[in-house]
Order: sequence, then structure tokens, then C-alpha cells
Amino acid sequence: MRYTLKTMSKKQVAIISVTILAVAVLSTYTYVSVSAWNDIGARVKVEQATTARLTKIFFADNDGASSQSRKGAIETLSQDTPLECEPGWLIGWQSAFIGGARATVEKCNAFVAKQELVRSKTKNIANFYDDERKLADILSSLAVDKKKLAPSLYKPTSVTVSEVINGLESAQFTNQKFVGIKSEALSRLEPIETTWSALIKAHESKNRAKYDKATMKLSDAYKQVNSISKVVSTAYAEEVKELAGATDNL
Amino acid sequence: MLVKRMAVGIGVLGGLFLLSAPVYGLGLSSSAIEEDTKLVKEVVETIQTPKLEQPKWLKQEIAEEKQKNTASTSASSQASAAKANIIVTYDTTTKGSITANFSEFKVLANQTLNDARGWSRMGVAFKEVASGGQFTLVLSEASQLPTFSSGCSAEYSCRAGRFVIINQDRWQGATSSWNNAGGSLRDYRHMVVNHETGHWLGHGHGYCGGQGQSAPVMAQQSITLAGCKFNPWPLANELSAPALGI
Repeated sequence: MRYTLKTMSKKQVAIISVTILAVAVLSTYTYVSVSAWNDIGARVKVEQATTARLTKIFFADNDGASSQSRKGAIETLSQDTPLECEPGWLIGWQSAFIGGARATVEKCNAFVAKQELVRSKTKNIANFYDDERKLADILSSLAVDKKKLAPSLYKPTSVTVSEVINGLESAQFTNQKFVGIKSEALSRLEPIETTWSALIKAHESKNRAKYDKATMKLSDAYKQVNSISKVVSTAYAEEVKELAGATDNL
Repeated sequence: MLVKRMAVGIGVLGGLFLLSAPVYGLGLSSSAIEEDTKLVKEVVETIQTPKLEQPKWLKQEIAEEKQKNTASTSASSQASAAKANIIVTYDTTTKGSITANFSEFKVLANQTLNDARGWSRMGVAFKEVASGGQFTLVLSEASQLPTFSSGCSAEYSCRAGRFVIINQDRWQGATSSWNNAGGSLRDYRHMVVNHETGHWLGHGHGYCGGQGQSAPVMAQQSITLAGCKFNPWPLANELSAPALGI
């Protein structure tokens, strides 16, 4: 006996329709679920590859990578947004029951934790670059003209030194290592300020012995400023080392 | 055979692993670190000791002193020469960029060499000549010192062959150990001229004879007094000059 719509009862039609609809919905849901889990796995792979590529650019200085490309890599890494490892509640519940889904979430979370560490270290380095620029800007007012400094310029020069010290004292740095760098820079600049005051006093009182001594001390004090760049390099090397540690086993 | 094949396989796989190993954890070379932090370095390099133009009052004071000194130097040189058994000639020159007052340097060096407390006690008079002296007294920019000899450093003064070289930085600022011990710049200048000329006269380095004693002029007082008192003049037991046969 052949079934046709005409021969079927309304009930039978309804049952068949609901069954077809249910199968269609279930198939679509299954397809969307599989796609969502696959998508998470794929995004982890893409993120892993991107992070690996960027860290490789940063650490590949021996291959001639320039400072600019290193800084670019750091900027991109530090601005990276973290991966979402859960596809939303409608599909996410599956990870509690399906082994494959659970493994995908666990793998993704493990990567996100490592990526988060790398991001925090790259963020530190990105902040370091900003702070370095800020420090260089502040110190740049101390650049010395190669011409001989006339006695009339002793005071303005001394004022500039004091302004630089004040500027540095009030400057806010983001990277924690700049706390030490700032204090080192201040300890190197303060003797210059003191010596300028002594020199001006000696000049005003026309005291040759004190003037000679102050010029001597001024020369020593200026030579000490060199150590600021050494402290900056050392702190930067420490930041780089921390990033290298974070990228291990990524 | 099987073992050999396995060994080759492991070797190949190891090589491939090394080639594909990520660069994580390698860190950066010191040149890359320097390059990345060059911003501050470049700025710091522009922060040099300013060259100070001498104030008028100081110029005047030096000119008056020079006038006085020229008269007394020529008198003391003549007096020394008259009493001396041996006359040593020397010429003077500069090397590199000189910011110190060279005329003042020449006057003070001549006074030191012919001072009654100095080497002239051996019956030697030092006469400055325009050229062709027995030794050349040089006032040198610090960075130029190593160009005289690999044994000379930019830090201190030096003697290299016929050249008695005074480091401009030391001439202008003595050394921190000297300054910390309370020595005056004038005494340091006497000491360094006597010390380096002492080398030319044939002396090696001397050493502190004991706590609180006067340091031999040939001791390295620029570096440390080693418990001695600073002393710019040769001690009695240093009064010899092997180079002159005395």
C-alpha cells in the first residue's frame, strides 16, 4: 500500500513533519557545534603561530632584525586580545560531557594562560619603550652646547638643571624598573645642581680656589651622567630575559 | 648494521629538530640591547661637561700671575742654571683638544722642575727650548694618551720614550683619591710633573715606606697614597738620575 499525503491522516502528517524538523534542527545544531569546536582549535593554532612568529621577530636580532621591527613585534603582541575558549552556553555545555570538546577547551585555556604571561611581559617592554622616550625627553634639556659657556649663562644653565631634576621627580613612569632608573638618574643629576650653585657662588665672590674646585667637580659630576644609559640597558636586558622565560614552552 | 642505521636516523632527526627549534629563550645580544635603548644613550652623550669661558676677573688674575711668574721663572731658571752642573733641555707641546691654559702649564711645569725642593737638588737645571729638547713635555687630551704607547691609559699621565705626557684631565682635576685625601690641585700638578719627569730620569715606581710617612714622588700617588702623606717633591733617597748618569 502506497502512502501519499492524501491517504495519510493529519496526525501522521504532523508526526512526520515534526520528525523532519527535529532531524533538521539536530543536524544544524550538530554542524554548528562541530564548527564551533573546530573553530576554537583553529584559532588556538593561528594564535600560537602568530605569537611564535612575532616572538621570533623580536628575538631574531642575530639575523639582522632591526630595533624598529622588534619594537613593532612587541607592540602587536602587547595589544593582542585574549582568545575566548568557550563557544557560549548553547554549545559550551558539551564540554562537560564530550571528551573531545573538553580537550579543546583545556588546550585553549592552557594556551591562553601562557599567552597572557607573554602579553604581560610584552606590555612591560612596551611600557619600557614609552618610559625610555619620556626619560630621554626630560634629559634632552641638559644637552650641552659645544661653544664655551659665558659666565652670564652660568645661572640659566643651573636653572635648567634644577628644572630637569624637578621634571624628573614629578614624572610618572609605568614600568616598575623605572623606579630604580629614576632614582639613579636623580642621584647623578643632583651633584651637578649642587656644583653649579657652588660655581656660581665662587664666581660671584671672585674666589679662585673655590672656582677651580667647582669646575673640577663639575667635570666629575657630568661624567657620572653616563651611568644612566647603562642602568637603562641593564633594566631592559632584564625585561627581555623575563619575556624569553615567558615564551619558553609556548 | 641496524644499529648504524638507527644512529644515522637519530642524527638526522636531531639535526632537523635543531634547525626547526624556535628561538624562544635565546634573549638578545648586547648590541641589540644597546640599539633598543639608544634613545637615552644618545641624549646622555650630549650631556657633556660644559666648556666654561673664563670670567673676566679670573683672566685678569691669571694675567697678573703670569707676569709675576715669568719674571720669577726666568730668575729661578737662571739661578738654577748658574748653580747647576747639568742642564737638561726640554721642549713643550700639546696633543688633542686642549682646554687648559697651556701658558700657565708651561710656567708651572718650569717652576716645578727648577724648584729648590725638586730634581734640581741634584744639581740639574731644566731649560725649556723651542724645539729639539732632550725630552718633550706634552699636555695631552686624556683620550690621546694611549696613542703614545699601549702602556698609557686615558686615565692617568704617562712617560713614553722621550715624551713626558701630562693628562689634561688630571692637570685640571687631579684624581679622586688625591682630592679625597685633601690634596691641593697645585701640589698635584707639582707631583705629576715631578713623577713623570722622574720616569724620564730613569726611575721606576716607588712605594710608601710606612704609615704616615711622606710618599716618594715616584709612588703612584694618583691612584693611592697607601697610608703615606701626599708629597709632590722627590725624597732625599730618590735623588738620582740613572738616565743622566747621576
